[in-house]
Amino acid sequence: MSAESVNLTVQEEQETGARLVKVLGPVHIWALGVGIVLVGEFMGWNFTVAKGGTLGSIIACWLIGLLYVSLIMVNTEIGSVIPEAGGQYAMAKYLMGPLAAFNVGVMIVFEYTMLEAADSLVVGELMHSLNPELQPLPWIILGLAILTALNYRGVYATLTVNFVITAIAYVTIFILLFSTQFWSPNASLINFPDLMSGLPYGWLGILGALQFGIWFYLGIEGTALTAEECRSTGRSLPVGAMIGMVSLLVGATITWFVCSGLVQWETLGSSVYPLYDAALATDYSFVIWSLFVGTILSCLASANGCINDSSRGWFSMARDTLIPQWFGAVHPKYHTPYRAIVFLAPIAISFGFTGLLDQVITFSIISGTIIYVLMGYMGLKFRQMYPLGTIERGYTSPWHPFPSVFLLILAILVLVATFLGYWINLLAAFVFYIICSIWFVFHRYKFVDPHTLIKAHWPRPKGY
Amino acid sequence: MSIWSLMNYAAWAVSALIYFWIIKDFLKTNREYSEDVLLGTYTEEELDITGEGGQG
Repeated sequence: MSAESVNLTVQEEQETGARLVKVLGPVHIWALGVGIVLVGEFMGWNFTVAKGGTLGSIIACWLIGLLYVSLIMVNTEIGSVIPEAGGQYAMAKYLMGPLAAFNVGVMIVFEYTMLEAADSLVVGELMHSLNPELQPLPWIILGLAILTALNYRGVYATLTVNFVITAIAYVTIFILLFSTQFWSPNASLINFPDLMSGLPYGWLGILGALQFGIWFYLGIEGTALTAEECRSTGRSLPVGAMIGMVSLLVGATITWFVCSGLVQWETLGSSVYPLYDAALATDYSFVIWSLFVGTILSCLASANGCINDSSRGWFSMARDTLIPQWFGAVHPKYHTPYRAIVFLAPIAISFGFTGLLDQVITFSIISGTIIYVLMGYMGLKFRQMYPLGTIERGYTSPWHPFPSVFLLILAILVLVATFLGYWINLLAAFVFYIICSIWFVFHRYKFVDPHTLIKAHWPRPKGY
Repeated sequence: MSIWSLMNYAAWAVSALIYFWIIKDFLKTNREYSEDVLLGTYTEEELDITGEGGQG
């Protein structure tokens, strides 16, 4: 389906009001989820190696993988009955009330806006690495400008572009893998005897590695934010998100394997671009250039998806009157939340100006992890309020309540690990969200319209 | 002036053009359409709570 074919006529716009359009299929959901996350396989995940060695790193990779598989199961089940933009925000609205929804909404916006700023910072640094005369800032601003314009023009084109650049970046990981001739122990570049470094800091190192293991998958849950724009929410969301999660698990494991096999673990643990460094170790110029291009494309895909998701979060809160309704406007021609997109652009740019990549990304991770804790709780509450058979689900998560319980336990463990390494950042994040809550309760709550807030009329929950 | 410095200036110029277009369209849209149209209206029927969604 082309984007043009769903354009409403001017007369229809006047009668019904501008709205988001249902044009997305599973491919776009895959592109959104994997596109946001894939950058974490090109950089960041390798700090797990610094904390837990290569063994601790792969344990963290799979444990956090379990967290995200659980998250996707819970997320997709609840998301399949809430076809509204806003993802976890919309879920919190129906399951936990306006204050929790407001907090989750703000966390979503900050998680993605800061991730977007971090991505653009990396693009600037990569351009600077090409030649010292290329300044990072103009390229940071240019990258954000192009992606903002793309998002402004329409979701279909945005996520189609994201599919192409994400797929290319993903393929470069396989190019690196096959260049090592891993299947032939004699000819392989992989250093099999030193692949496992053991646990240099014992089991505590694994706990320390968990917070960086998040990088392998951070943002995949953002697929739910476009629920309202899916042609068939009940099909597109589970298919796109599940295939995306499998893609990431495969990609993460390959990334760990080639990097651990090509780069000494002490060097790997402090590398800025681990996959690129692994490509340098192969000494093949085609592979090196492929990974350079893959790194830039993964950053652009991530920033592109982040603009899409943060704007949907902000838009949804505005439409529900939790923040001024003015932000909830939809472009009558492009069918995008254009005011939310334009409002968030300078915020991302200002974070990009700071140059504080580690602080920006840590705040993003903390915001995301708090949402995961709440999602575990919401998974349990949703089944308690609406047992199977009481409401029609597009997807039913198997093995309930294990996904919710795993999610809850693992997300709390990640917060504990974050506290060990970044307690000031964690404390600052909690203080920030408490201040936001105070503002909401004492200033904004009186403007909230309960009839606007709750749109879908679900059956009365069990026990209410 | 080196080619790299020119590329920096070109990046600034293209960024400015893109943001100019966005702001121009933003203001034009706000001016040409009423708030009722831009904010839209959603009803219970439009939100398909069964999760099957509308077929676009």
